[in-house]
Amino acid sequence: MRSLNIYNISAIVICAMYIVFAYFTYTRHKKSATIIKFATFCVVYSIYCFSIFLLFGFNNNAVSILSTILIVIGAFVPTILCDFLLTVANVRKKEYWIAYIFPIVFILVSIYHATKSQIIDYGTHKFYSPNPVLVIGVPTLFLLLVIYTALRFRVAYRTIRSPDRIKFLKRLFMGIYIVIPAAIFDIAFYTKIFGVFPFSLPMLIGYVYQIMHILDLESLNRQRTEYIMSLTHELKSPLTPIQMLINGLESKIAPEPKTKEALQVIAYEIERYKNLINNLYLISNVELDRPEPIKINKEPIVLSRIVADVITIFRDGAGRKGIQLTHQSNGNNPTILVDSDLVRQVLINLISNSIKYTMSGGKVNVDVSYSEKRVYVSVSDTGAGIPKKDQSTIFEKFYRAENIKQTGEGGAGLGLSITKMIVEAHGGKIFVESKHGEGSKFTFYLPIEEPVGR
Amino acid sequence: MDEKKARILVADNDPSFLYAFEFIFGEDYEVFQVQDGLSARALAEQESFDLIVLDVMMPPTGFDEGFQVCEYLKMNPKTNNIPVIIVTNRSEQDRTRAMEVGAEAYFTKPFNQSELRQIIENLLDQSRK
Repeated sequence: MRSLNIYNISAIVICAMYIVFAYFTYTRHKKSATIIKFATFCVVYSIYCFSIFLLFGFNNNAVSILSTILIVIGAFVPTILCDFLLTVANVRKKEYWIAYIFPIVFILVSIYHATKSQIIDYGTHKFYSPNPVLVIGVPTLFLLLVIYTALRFRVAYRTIRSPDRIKFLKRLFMGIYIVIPAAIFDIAFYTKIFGVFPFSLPMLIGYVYQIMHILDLESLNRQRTEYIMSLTHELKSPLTPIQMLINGLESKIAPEPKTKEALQVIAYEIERYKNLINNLYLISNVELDRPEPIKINKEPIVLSRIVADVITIFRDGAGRKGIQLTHQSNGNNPTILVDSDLVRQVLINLISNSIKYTMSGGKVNVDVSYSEKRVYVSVSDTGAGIPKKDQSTIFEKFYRAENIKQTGEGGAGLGLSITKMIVEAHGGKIFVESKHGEGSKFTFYLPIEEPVGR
Repeated sequence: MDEKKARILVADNDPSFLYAFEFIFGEDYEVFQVQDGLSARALAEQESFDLIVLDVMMPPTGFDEGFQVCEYLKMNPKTNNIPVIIVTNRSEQDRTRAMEVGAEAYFTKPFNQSELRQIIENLLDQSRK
């Protein structure tokens, strides 16, 4: 049995390395729409793996087969995966084919090759007999490899031109750190296949840029989310004086009923706008992988008071739509410890959703009840309802049920996912019961924590 | 109300906010407005105030000027007994920082203004005692 050699060792090193990289790259993208492209890619790629195996794996040496499997599963799957994800995430639509070119070329060459006899002597690393595959296939493969590398180079170059020098050096350092084992692997791998290492420099440069590209994508993602966060700040600033002045006008001038109503409409719309920005802010906080994305500042409050407050804001808006908004509370209304701003946000999300998807003449009811250890709040409506198949997914980010899209009501698909996060950050849970066409009922509970020392 | 109105210093780089603050509280209190951290420090030392309201993002440092001003005022024996309210449209996450620098209250914009009024009255009552 052959002992550990450079192929096996480098294969294992590369395996581990790329698995780590693939993991990070994947977790960044798993929640985006890339998932569909990813699935398509998986199909193409599994064929690719199989064909690689056909091309290099049929050998009578068991260790060699093992190392080939290791290389294929450990090194190629994640590498190509990274490539694919990076490419679709960063490249313009019409350049998606770049992500596929490498596997497709391998498929074509290896399928053809698999029908022929073995051409490589693994003992001496030399080719035997003038085979048509060698004459046509291998040069084509090389050519396409060069094109592939050049394209990757270009794609990466475009992303990498960052004005931030310190970050650039850091990335360069990390790039080199990863490329050195990659280069060992490349030399070993291509020498094993072709007898010589054909395009060491372009390959190396390609790898350097590729790795930097990975790191760059991370920072691009971050930059984008950070941008959204600063944007929410900018969007919020003008609201403060607007809201203050409207409230001030209402209470100071004692306006005639019609003006008063107009002011209330403005106040109501501002409240909704504010809540949307708060949602956006929270979601970008979660996206940034902050250690505590939803920070809870618990303070003693009477929950029914917040409910009543939110109901007051929304009652007029619901009334204008012809919806009756009611609320009950049973129990002795104990003071509990929660983050009042976040709970308020939850209530606004649920109530405004219910109002949004309930037709004129319907009802929305908010019910607060206490058990020994929990407080239950449910928001029920007589609206469009949620089809069974959508009920498990409505809490996902950006998800909007099919039947509500048809109602023509706009929405960002943020409210419920935020609501769930906030409720769970409090140690609570949220459920939905709904019948299509008859209405829905969202219920959440929060654990009751008695304020200490008050 | 007593014969003399309480004096409040408001620092915010947004003139509209200052206008709105004056509009709402101007009748009940004597409101002084400044638009940056340096003048807030200078004015707080020169004159005597009963309450200071600070925004967080202000010139000259921009990012956390409000906290810096608050810290400065709390270190200064002349001004350290004046209650400070920090008002910001940054998130709730800054609440801890506000408490660290010694602010008496923290509000995120846009806030419930009856709550703000309540807090202002409470703080003024406390400091009168």
